[in-house]
This record gives sequence, C-alpha cells and structure tokens, in this order.
Amino acid sequence: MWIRRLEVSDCAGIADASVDLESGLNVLHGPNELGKSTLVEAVRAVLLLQSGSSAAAALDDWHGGGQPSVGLTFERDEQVWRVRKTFKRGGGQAFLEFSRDGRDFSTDSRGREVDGKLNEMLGWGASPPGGRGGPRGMPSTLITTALLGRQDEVAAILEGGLADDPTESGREQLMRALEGLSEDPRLKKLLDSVQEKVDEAYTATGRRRGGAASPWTRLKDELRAAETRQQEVRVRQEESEVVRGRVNELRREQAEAEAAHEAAARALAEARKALERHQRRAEARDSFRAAEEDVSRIETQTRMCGEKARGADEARGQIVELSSEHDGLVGKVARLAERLEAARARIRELEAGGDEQRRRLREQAAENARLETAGELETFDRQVRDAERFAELDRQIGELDGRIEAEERNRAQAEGLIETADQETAADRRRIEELRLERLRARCLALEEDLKRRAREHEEARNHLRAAAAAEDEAASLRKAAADLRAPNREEIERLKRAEDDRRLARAKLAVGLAVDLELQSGVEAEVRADDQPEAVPYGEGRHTEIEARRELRLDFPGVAMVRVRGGGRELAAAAEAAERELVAVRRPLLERAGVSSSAELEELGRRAESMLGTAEEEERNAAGEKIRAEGTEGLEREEALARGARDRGRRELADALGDGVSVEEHLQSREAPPRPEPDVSKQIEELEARVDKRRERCRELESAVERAAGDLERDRRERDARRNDLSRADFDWRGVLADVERRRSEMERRLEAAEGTLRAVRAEAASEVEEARGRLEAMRADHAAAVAERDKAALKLAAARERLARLKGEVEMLEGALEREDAASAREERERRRKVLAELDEDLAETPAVDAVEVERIARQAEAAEKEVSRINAELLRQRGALEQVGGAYAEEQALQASERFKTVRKREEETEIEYEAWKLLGETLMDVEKKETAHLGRALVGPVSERISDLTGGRYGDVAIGPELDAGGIRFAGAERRFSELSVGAREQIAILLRISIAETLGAFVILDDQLTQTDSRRLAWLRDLLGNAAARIQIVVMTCHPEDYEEAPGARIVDLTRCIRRSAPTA
Amino acid sequence: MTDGRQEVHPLEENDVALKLLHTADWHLGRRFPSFEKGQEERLTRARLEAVRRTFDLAASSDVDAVLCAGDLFDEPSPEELWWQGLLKEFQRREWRRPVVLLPGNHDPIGRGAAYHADHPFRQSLPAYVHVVDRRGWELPIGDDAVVYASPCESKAGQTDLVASLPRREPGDERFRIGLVHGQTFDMEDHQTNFPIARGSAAERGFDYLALGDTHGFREVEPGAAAPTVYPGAPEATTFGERDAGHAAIVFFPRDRRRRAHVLQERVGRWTWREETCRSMDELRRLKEAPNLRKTVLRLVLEMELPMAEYDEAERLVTELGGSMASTPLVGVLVVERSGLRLASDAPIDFGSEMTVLQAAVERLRANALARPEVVEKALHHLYTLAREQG
Repeated sequence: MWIRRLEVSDCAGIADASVDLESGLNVLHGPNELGKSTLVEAVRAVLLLQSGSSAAAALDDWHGGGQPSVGLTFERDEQVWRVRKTFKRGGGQAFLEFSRDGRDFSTDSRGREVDGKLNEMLGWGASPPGGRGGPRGMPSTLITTALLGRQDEVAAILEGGLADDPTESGREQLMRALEGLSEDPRLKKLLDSVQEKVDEAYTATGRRRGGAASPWTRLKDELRAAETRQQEVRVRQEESEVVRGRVNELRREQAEAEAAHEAAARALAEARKALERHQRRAEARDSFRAAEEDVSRIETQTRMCGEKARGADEARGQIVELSSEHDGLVGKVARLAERLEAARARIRELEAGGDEQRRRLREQAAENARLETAGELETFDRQVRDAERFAELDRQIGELDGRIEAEERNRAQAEGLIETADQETAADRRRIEELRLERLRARCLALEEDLKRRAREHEEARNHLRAAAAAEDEAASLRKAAADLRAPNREEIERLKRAEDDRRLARAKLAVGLAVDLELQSGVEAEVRADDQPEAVPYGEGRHTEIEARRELRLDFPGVAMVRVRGGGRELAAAAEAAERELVAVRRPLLERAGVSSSAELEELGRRAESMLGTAEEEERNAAGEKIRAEGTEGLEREEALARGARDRGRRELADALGDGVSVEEHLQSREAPPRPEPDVSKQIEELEARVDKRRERCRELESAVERAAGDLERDRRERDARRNDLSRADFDWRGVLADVERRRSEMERRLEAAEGTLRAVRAEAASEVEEARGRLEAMRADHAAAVAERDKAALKLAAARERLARLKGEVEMLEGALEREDAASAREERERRRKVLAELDEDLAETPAVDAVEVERIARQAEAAEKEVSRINAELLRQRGALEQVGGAYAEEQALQASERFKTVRKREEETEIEYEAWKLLGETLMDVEKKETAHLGRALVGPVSERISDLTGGRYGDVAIGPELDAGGIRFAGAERRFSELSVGAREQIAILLRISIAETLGAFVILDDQLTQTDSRRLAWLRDLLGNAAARIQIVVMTCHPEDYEEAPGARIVDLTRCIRRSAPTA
Repeated sequence: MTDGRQEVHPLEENDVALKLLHTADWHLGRRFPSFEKGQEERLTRARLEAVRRTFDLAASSDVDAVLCAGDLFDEPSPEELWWQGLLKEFQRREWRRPVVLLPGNHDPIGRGAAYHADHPFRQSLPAYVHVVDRRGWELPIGDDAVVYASPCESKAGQTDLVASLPRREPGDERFRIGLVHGQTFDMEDHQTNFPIARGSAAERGFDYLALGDTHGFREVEPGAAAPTVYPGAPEATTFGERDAGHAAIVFFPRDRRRRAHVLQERVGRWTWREETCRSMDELRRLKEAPNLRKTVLRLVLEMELPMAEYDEAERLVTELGGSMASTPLVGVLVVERSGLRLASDAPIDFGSEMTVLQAAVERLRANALARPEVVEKALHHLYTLAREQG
C-alpha cells in the first residue's frame, strides 16, 4: 500500500495542501511550522477517524475557516482508492472512491460505511467504527504506531505490542505477512514443492481433485474399467466353471453309464451267443436228421439199383442161355422137319395100293383126331404161353404198383415236408411281419421320443429366449423408469452429500458461540435474531438481556444501525458462504431436474433409481445368461424339424404296414409293453428271413425231388398202364389156364397119345413098311412138334428174359441217374460232419446256461436302456462341450486371470498413489503445522532482520534484539547482557525503533511515514540509515518529513519534495 | 540310440533329408495389463519383433518349411495393426518355402477371424503362406514329406485333433509331420483344452508331431521314436514360464532308422526374472547384473533401512527403472516395495540446521493416526526434498 496523493484543506494551520507522492522514498521537507506534522495527522485522521469524531478536533482550522477536509489517494493491491473526509463533530462527510485508472473515480461507499470498509481494508488492529463503549480518540495500534508514528513518540514502537491492540486484525495481518517473511527460502521452496505435489491430488479444501489432470481421475477411470472388465470376465468364467463342472460330472456319469452299458452289452452278447448256440444245436439236429434221411434214401436207392443190376445181369445170362437153347432148338426143328418130309415121301411111295384107301381114311380120321388133339394141345400151349406172359405182365404191374406206391409215399412225404416248411415259412413270415411292425412301432416311438426330446430342448431354448427378452424388456423398462425419475446418479448424490457436509462443517466452524449483553435505552427499538431465529428483547432502561447464539447475532436498531455479529471470522464466513454457494450450485440443478424440493427426496429418488438400475443390471445379467443358455436355438429348431420329418415318415411307414382299419395312434398306444430296440428286432428279422430263405432252398430241393419223383411216377404209371392195357387184352382166363395147365396138358397129351395110338393101329394095318414108315414118320412128327414146342417155349423165355432185361436196364438207368444226382459219399460226409457239429454243439452246450428268447429279450431291454442312457449323456456332454466352447473354458480362465491381474495392478497403483499423496499431504500439513508454531512467535520472525540491521548499523556492538511473540520489544543484547531499551541512549532507541518500524512496514508491504525522526543520530549512522531507507524504498513507500532535506539528498532513489510549494498556510481572519 | 532310432547331428547336412522350423504361441496383440502403459507397449511390441527374428532364423537355417502351431494371434479378431504387421513380415520376404499357419484356441478359425476366407488378412497372404482351415488338412513338402494338420475351431474343446489326422497308409514312405494345437496332459478335474493322447505321433505314423499351446520349450516323452515337441512362445507372456523364447529346428535324417533331431534355438529377446533383495548389497549387486536391458524384472524389496540407505534404495530402484531424465537399466521393471521399511527410530540427518524439518520429523514420527507406510513415505519425501535442495 502506498500513498499517491494527499490533499488537505482547512486543517490546523494549513489552508490547503496538495502533495503527490511516489512509491519509493519521498523526502518532504519544509521549515518548522509549515505543517508537516499536520499532514501526517491528516493522513492518520482520514484513515483512522470517523468524520464525525470529536478526535478530529486537532485538525480544526486554527483560524476558524471551513471544516477540515482531507483527501488521500492510495494504491493497494494494484487498486487505486481515494478516501475523502470532511470532519465535523457529530456529522461530517466521508466518501470512499475507487478507480481503475487512477483518474476517474466512482464512489464505493460513503458515511459510516467508509470507516468500516477502511478498517477492514487496512486491518491495522483498530476497532471498527461506531458502537458504544469503544475506544475514543485517534485509534492507536502497533501498526499505526509503526507506520504513522508521531514525531514526539519516537520510541513508542518499543514500548507497546500487539497485546494492546483493540482487535486481532493487526495480529492476523502481521501473522499472514510474517509467515512469508519468517520462512527460510529453502523451507519455502520445500513447502512449495510439497504443496505442488499436494495440489496435484487435492483441492484447497482437502478434497481429492477431479478433472482430467488428476491422478485420482485416471486411477478411478482405470479402476472402473478394470473392475468392469473383471466383472465381465468373471461372469464368463463363472459360466465356464458351471459348464466345466457339468462337463466333469457328465464325464463321470458317462464313464459309469458306459461301464453299465458295456456290462449289459456283454451280458446280452453272452445271452445271444447262448441262445444262438441252442438254436444252432436245434438246427444242427434237424440238419443231421435231414442228412441221415438223405443218406438212408440214397442207400435204399443204391440197394435197389444193385438189385436191379443184378437182376439185369441174371437176365442177360438167361438171355444168353436161352438164345443158345433157342438156337439149338431151331436147328433141331429144322433137322426134324427135313427128316419128317423124307419120311412123308417114303410113306407116299408105300401107299400106292387098294385097301390102302380105307385104311388111309381111318388113318386120316385117326390122323385128324391126332391133329385135332395136337392142335388143341398147341392152342393150349399158346394159351399157356400167353397166360405166362400175362402173369409176367401182372407181376410187372404189381412191381410197378409197389414202386409207384413207394414213389407216391416219398412224394407225399416230400410234399408233407414242403407243406410243413411252407407252414413254418408262413409262420416265420407272419412273425417277420409282426417283427417289422414292431420295428416300425419301435422306430415310431423312438422317433416320437426323439421329437419330444428335441421339442422340449427347443422349447427350453425358446423359453430361455423369451425369458431373456422378458428380462431385457424388464431391464429396459427399469432403466427407462429410472431415467424418468431424473434422479441424481451416485456421483451426483456423493457430490451433493459432500457439498452438504462441507456446508455443515463450514457452518459448524462458524458456530463458535456468541453472547451479547444488551441493554436498550428507552425509546430505542431493536429486533434481534439469534442464528436467524427472532429473540424477544425486553424494553426498559436497566434491563439487561443476554442473548446467545451459536454462529450469528443480528441486532437491528431501525433507523440507527444494524449490527451483525458473526462467529468464526471472515475466512470461515467466506468458506461457509462458498460452501453454501457450492451446495446451491450442486443441488439446484438436481432439484430442478428431478422436480423435488429437498435433498432427502433427491436421495430417495437416487436410491430408487439405483435400486431400479441394480435390478435392471441383474435382469440384463439374467438375460445374458438366458441367451447363453438359449444358444443354438436355430440348430435345435432345425433338429426338431428334422426329427418331426423323421417321425412323420416313420408313422407313414407304420400306417402303410398296418393297412386300413387300425390307426397308427391306436397301434402305438395299444400295447403296454415297450417295443424292443430296433437293432434287436432287425437282427431277429434277418435271422428269420435267413431261416425262411434256407427253408425255401430246402423246399426247392424237395420240390425238385418231388418233381423228379413225379416224372418217375408218371413213367411208372404209364408203364404200368401199358402193362395193364396189355393184360386187359387177355381174352381168356389166363390165371385158370396157369392154375390147371399140367392137368389139362396131361389130359391133352393122353388124348394125343390115344389118337396117335389109334393112328398107329390103323397104320399097323398097313404094310409094315408103310406102317413102319408111318411109325417113324409119326415119331418124327412127334419129335418135330416137341422140338417146335420146345423152340417156341425157349423163344418165349428168351423174349421174356429180354423184356425183363430191358425193364431192369431202364430201372437201373433211372436209379443210377438218381444216384448220380445224389452223391452218396458227400451225403455221408455231410451226415458225419453234421453229426460232429452236433456232437461239438452238445459238448459246448454242456457249459452254456440255458437261455430262452424271453430272457435274451429282457437282457436286451436292459442293454438298450443302458445304451439310451449313454446316448443321453453323450448328447448332454456334447451340448455342454459346445457350451464350453462358446464360453471359452481355459481361455476364459486366462482372460479372468489377466483381468484380475489388471485389477490388482490398478488397485496396487491406487494404493501406492494414495500412500504417495497422503504422504505429501501429511508432510505438507505437518510442515505447515510446525512452521505455524514457529511463526506464531511473531517476534522471532523479526528478530533476524532487525538484529542483523542493528548489528550492521552498530558495527556489531549490539546483539540480537529481544522481540516477544506479540512484537513487544523487550530489550537488546548489548555489552554481554540483556539491556532494556530504556537503558539505551535516545539516539539508539530512535534508531532501533526506526529499524523495527521499517521492518514492520516491509512485513506488511505498507508505507511508513517518518516524521522528523533521526534527529539524535550521528552522521555516520545517519548515512547508514539513509542507505537503508533508499534500499528499503525499493520495496515499500517511505515518506520522510524533515526540515533537513540535505540529510537525505544522497539517499538512493530519494524524491525530494519541497512542501512549501505544496502547502498554503491559512491566515487569521480579519 | 534311442528307442531303436538314432539321433542325427544337425551339422551333418548331407545326412539331412528335410529341415523344418517349428514355432508357436506368438500371441500377437497380447496385452500385459499388470504392467505400466509404456512397459505394456514394449512387451506387446516385442512379440512381433520375435516373429521377425524367428523368420530370420528360418531363412538363415534354410529350412524347407515353417510350421506355426497356433495361438499366433492373442484373439480371433486382432486389431488391424497386428495382422497388418504380420502381413508386412510375410510380404517383405520373397520366399518359396511354405509357411503353415495353424489356428489355435486363442485364434480359432471362424467367421470374423483373421484366418477366415473373408478377412483381408487371409486374402492378402502371399502364395507361400498357407492357412490350415479344415480338419485333416494336408500339404506335401516336396516328394518325400507331407504335413497333416487340423485347426482349433473354438476357444475351448475336448476334441483330440491328432485323432482327426489320417494314419500312415501301408507303403507310404514319406516323412509325415503332424501339426495341431492342444495339451498333452490330462489331470483329474483339470480343464484340459483340446487334449492330445500320449503316443499319438507313433500311433498315427508320424515322424514328428509339431504342437503349440505350452509356452515353454518341451519335448513330450523324450527319446520317443517320433518326437512330439512344443517349441514354446518366442517371448514369454508372464513370470515363471520356463524355457520360453525359442523356436525348434527339426532335422529329418535320410537314414530312416534314425529319429528326427530337434534343435532348440533362441529367438526371444526378453528374459523374465524375479529377484528378492533383502539387503542393500544385494540391491547394489543387482544393478551390476548383465543383460538387464533385456530383462523383465520383478524386484521384491524385503529390508528395513535407515533413511540414508532407504533413500539410496529408492534411488537405485529409480536408476533400474529409469525416469523422465534417465534411461532405465532394466528393460521392464516391476517393483514390489511393500517389504521395504524405514527404520523407525534411526536419526535423519538433513545436513543443515533446519529446526523446522527436525520438528517435522518428530511430529511425523509421533503421529499415531497416520498409517505407518504413509509416515515412512512422508519422511522420505521430506528427506528427498531436503537433500535435493541442498
């Protein structure tokens, strides 16, 4: 603060004066009585006295002119102020003006306000203006003494202290100033460094700094990002863990189910094997029997063939013999016929005589009888031969009948076998159809079950999707509702709370406790408010009222004054106002936005919104979870469609198989027993079909045999029929002939012999020679006839033998043909092989438990159930593995680990940063605290510079000056002991006082007016002090009033002002 | 001789019928969130540099083919700068030798993946670079060798991909090399990813099974007739990964009675190391340790020191880690200093008469409300400031 201009009028002996000053050393000189001290008093008065103060009487114009008036223009903190006062007891005028450029001024305040404002602006420890009971006269404080010390009170500064000041404002200002002054530059630099660090992280109020440059902001952002990432990854990892757990569980279930299935499959395989062995044994037994029958049939045929061949061989032998015999008989007949013709010729020669004619007649009759008998015999023989031929035909017919009967029996047996096979085949086919139906039913049911399962899975997935959509809708609805609330977010709430806490704290700091003892004089009214609450005040003189408040007391004396007493001082009040403004600034937009009227409502809204957002987040997490669970819905839908198509195809096949009359549904629901597995049924169908095929092959063989047998039978029948036809041509009783052949032949041979005897007797009557010739002829004829009969008989035998041979050859050929087709050896080998197989199977079966198809079917159902379980687990495992692939498995763990590391790193960094900045803050607070303790001793701050200057001034004769905490100068170290100032010379006291005053002015950065000082100082010290003033004037304004300007002419930068040019003395009125 | 087949020395070039470079687990684009931003960038960049060194090794070794066994990118859809960087590595080499890229569980093939046919990375690959994009993938290498491979198609899976490769046909006398990504171990309740059964190489008739996944170099079943090898990551991804930083050069001998020889070649720049210092001497010695600039060091300080040594320790740590004004001695430094304590009652010499500072020390030490570590730090700040200001 420095004085730019001083204008005075009508003050003491000065009519008017106007002095312009500069910021450095101003040496104002003039002769005695010019009014130098009046100017100093005018400065003092304009700054410290109210315009109506009686203390201004000292300025009254000595010559009774106008009212004393003073104008002072000064600059403070680079602002220009002008105070103008016209002093009049009980009245006067005061103006405080402000200028930005130092030329044009505008009024800042007037009247009483000027003094209040000046008092506050100067802060010199003087009482505020007004009020009763205050100090009267010119205010005097340590600072006014230091800066405006009177000429006659040179050493006054050494006699008082801050303790005598009426208010603390001087102390506070000095403390503020001395805090800086007292600092060691290193300490200050250190404190600056610390504060710089603290400022990086904290605001002036100690809160963590916000904004982009704040370390907390970066950390907070990083931490939030890391936390968000960690939560995201953790959700995925948890999902992965759940799925992995399920996969592990399914693996165990899979192992168990596979073991169970394996055991069941093993049991089933063993049971099937046993059943198959039993079936194979039965088949082997049947096969063996069939082979045995084949061998037996072939052996019979072979035997018959042998017999027939032997018969043929016999017939061939007979034919040879009979041919030889027949040839011999033919020759014999020829020879007898020649001899007979010769004998007849001889008789014809002998019968040329008379009686001979009669005898010849008798002989002719005898001959005729004999010929008739011979013819009869010959006919009989022919009949016998025919009868024998017929008998042979009959025998052949009988034989053919036997054969036909055997063949028919064989064919019937084969046909029976075929029929049985056909029946079995039909039964098997029916069984196959049943099994096919069962298989279709099993397939239908399995497909139905598969469709249901897929539909369930699809429906579950759709449910998950619906649930996800519902959760998302709910979340969106909640978020919208939360947004509609227009509630403050958490940070805004926290900011609001901080602002409220700050306001509460600031208010609490103001609540220092105030008490006023009020006594209202009669006629004076007052309105009193304690902490904004009205207080009743009793009226009447002598009635005291003690009014208490915690932070503010307001006493309004209408028309007179308003007194406002605040607790805590200006800084705390400013802090409280700032806190209030901050609260309003924070709260108002929130209240307006939310449409509520209180912080509580805001908090409630915030809680509701947060709750809604929390629920929304939960819903969104649920939705995400549901979506994950619903993954693959499209695939499931396709699978369901495929399963439905497969089911429909299965049902159509079943419907086709069922035909009309039975619906698929009825069929599927008709049986309670569940169908066996499709593979088992298929296998059984295949086995049955194989059996049917095998049987069909056997039937074809049998049918072929029957066909062959039918051919044989037909041929035999035709042959028999031919024989019968031949036999039917028999026109006589050939059986009777054959039955009576010997008797009749004997009788005819006897009659023939009789006829021949008669003939011979007749012929005996002829000439002996003729007779003899005739006798010989007759003998010859008999021989010839016998030979012819024998020859014919042989021919018949030969024909019969040839016929038999032909028949036997035909039979042998037929049998051989049949045998050629049969291969007896192979049949026997086959029979032996089958016998062996049967024996082996019997041996195997000894250790094979008996098992039937029902048991096998039961075990198969168990195996099927176990297989289904394995399939189910495999499908679930596949699905879960698919899910694991989606959520990431180990990848998710890795991501979680990284996110966790990131979070820990940021947390660690946050902790380190906290420690770092808390340490800086703690260090700063500690240093400030310690330093404050040090500087609270104000004297200690001034001891150094003052003592140094004194020592320099005195050439080291004086030691440290003793200055107390209240700047009460106690004494000085001199000549080895502490000396009171009163013990020093006037000059020394004067010099020490000036040094102290300059130090205080330097401390405050204020002007100092030295009114005719250093009058007791020698020239050497004066020179030293002149230099000191010149140097100090570089920092502060020094105004020296002197009547010896030459003492200061050499002072560096001194501006010498001749006051005689500035002051017009007043003259006595006439 | 091992298992009936004899090793072939790699230097006997005339005996070598085929030479391959086998690498894996580049993890291009991998982040290192537990490091400071600058350190993270260095470590992330280092991965592409390691790939460059790996290809240089392939060129200098004049291998017949380069097999890259999966996890080449850290994620299926890496940022463009990573696949562009790799693409440049390919494009700047005028090679004829085939390079086979196998998708691993970190970068499985699928829609949106860099390996997908629609992706610009895949579309821009030179002709000599092949991507395994289906199971049972096959690539003949000359007339005498063939590579069979199957890619990962998801981030997790339980499929043994070796089982998807064809067995050796009778009469097939070629060198058969299997290439898959997966894990050869299977512990109870351990989340095995793409498990590979032991003995797969022999069972499938391979002469060499090239694997990827494990970050350390490892030969599974050492001495087996058909080597099964993880080359490991060319640069480690975390502390504690042993034998990371290598590629494998595989020599196939002409003499088919001898097994392939596998040479472990270093391609990594960085060594990951953890050190605990319990005394100032240990810390001072650490500063003199060689190759610190190529080291990722986690330094744990476990010691209680008077202020002067405490301050020295802090300065040494600053020297190791570098500052705005000094180059770091250690490539990447992470310091765990929670075990570094200031001796509670040792005097602190400020070197000048600053009673305020001494008073502050007393005040700080007497402060029972503040956390000890905050007090220690404040004391050290005070000491440092006082020292710096002389």
